[in-house]
Amino acid sequence: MSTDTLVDIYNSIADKLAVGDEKGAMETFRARFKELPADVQGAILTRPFIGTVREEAKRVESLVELEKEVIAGIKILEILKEELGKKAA
Amino acid sequence: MGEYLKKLIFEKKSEEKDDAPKLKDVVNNPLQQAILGEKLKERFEATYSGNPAHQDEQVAFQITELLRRFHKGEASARDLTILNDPTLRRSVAEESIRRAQEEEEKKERANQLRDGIRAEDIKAFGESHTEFAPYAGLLDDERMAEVLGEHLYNLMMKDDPDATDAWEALQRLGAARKELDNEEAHARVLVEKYRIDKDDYKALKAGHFTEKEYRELKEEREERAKELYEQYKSTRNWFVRMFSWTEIEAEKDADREMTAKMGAAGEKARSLARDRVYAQKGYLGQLWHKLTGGKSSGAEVRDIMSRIGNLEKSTAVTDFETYLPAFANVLGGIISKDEKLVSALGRESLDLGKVVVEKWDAPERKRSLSSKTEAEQKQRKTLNPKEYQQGYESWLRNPQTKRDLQARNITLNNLQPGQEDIVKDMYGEHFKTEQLGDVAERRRSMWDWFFEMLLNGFTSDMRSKLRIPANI
Repeated sequence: MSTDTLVDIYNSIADKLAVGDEKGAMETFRARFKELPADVQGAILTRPFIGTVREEAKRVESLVELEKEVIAGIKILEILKEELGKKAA
Repeated sequence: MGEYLKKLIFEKKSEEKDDAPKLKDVVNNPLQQAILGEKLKERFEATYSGNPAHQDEQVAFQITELLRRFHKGEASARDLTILNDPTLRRSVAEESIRRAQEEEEKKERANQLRDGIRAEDIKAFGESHTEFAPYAGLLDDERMAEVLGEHLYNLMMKDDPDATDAWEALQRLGAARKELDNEEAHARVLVEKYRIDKDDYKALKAGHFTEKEYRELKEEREERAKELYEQYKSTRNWFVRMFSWTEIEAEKDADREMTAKMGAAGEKARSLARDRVYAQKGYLGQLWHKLTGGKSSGAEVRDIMSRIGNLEKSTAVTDFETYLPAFANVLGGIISKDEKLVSALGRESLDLGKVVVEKWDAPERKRSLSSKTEAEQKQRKTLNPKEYQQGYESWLRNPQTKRDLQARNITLNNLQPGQEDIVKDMYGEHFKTEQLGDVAERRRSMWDWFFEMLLNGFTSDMRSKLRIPANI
């Protein structure tokens, strides 16, 4: 890819942002993303990807905690059933 | 000197001239070697015994530099002396090996990092995570995983901190997923065992067990139940307390206490909303109490309220969104697994957990919650225009606001066409999240929905049997 093309993509996004047209800037970004070199695409995606992986890890960790509570709940139900069975007997 | 030695060492071995010093004269001359060796050792010692934080780096640098020059044929007599020193020669060899190992390990990690980025994750992140959603569909998922993988591979090989961040985040995610799989497998085993327990007696009746075998099995199970009971007593699990709570008097005491705490001016509406949630929870607890004979105290009730309160204060809506449907599922699952509960509530309660989760995931609920919150916000904007305007002016003076505006090339004293609307929209967003407590509103709506859904799962006959008032 030539430097001119890169500059052209940058300018077409920056021009829209300069007049507050964020929607237009985003549309241009999306439309021309594939024209960018792979390393630039990777650089753009890296930080949001890392943030999202962290968020996902946190979500799965909260599910693990919940699952532990579920297991404890099931075990306790087992005991309660035993006790109820004894009372009934 | 370098050129001279290079020629001396590599080119003139077989055609040494009489007037040139011989290699062995340079490197093996005992006196010269001793002098150069001592000087180098002094320098080495000075470096090595210096600041421990730098010593490895400095020594590594010296040795690497030496090796580089040696291999390029630029080594000096002094350098050659270093290589003749057994201690230093060993250091050079060890350093070379260490570096080669490090490089190999780095390459392996970079490969693992690249392989750890999967197209299915990219797809899921684009659908469910706000940070990644704007990038969804820029490339197809496979290609995006490939681009990210290659980029992070290169970053890792360059020791870039972003690669380390990505590596750590993926390791953490992998560990959490593995643990979740283990816990789920554990839960499945327990549920299966629970089912087998119930089948034991049937098996005996069907002649699959002898009386003796059945007795032994029962004893074994009783032993296990005792262990579990001890475990329960020591951990005081939140789950059982949640469901075994409900002595009405204790509930009323706790409600009065909480209402008094929140009774300050301006808090009345919130307090009423909370009272309603407490009452809803109270009836669920009452239900459980009746069927399990559980016991509770005022302290336990307050403890549960405090835990719920902490959940409500959680900073991320996503945590809450994750927790609540899972909680509903667990509750439904427990009801459906307990024969006494099922017989008390009727067969339809078997599907309660499933119904709750299906309804939670339904787009209508999400739309309804979202439009409800937006409507409330609009109403507040209309009701308090003066307060809104004051907030706007104060926000404009905020240094962070100035930085945000600057980032968008907006100067307040020189607004360009269309920029005033942008500024107002920015404040609108700020107002929604900061001033109106958007997050808190959404959570409260979720709790309301949850209990409404759960209680609506009971038939009118059950409601009447449990004396659940119509307004709950």
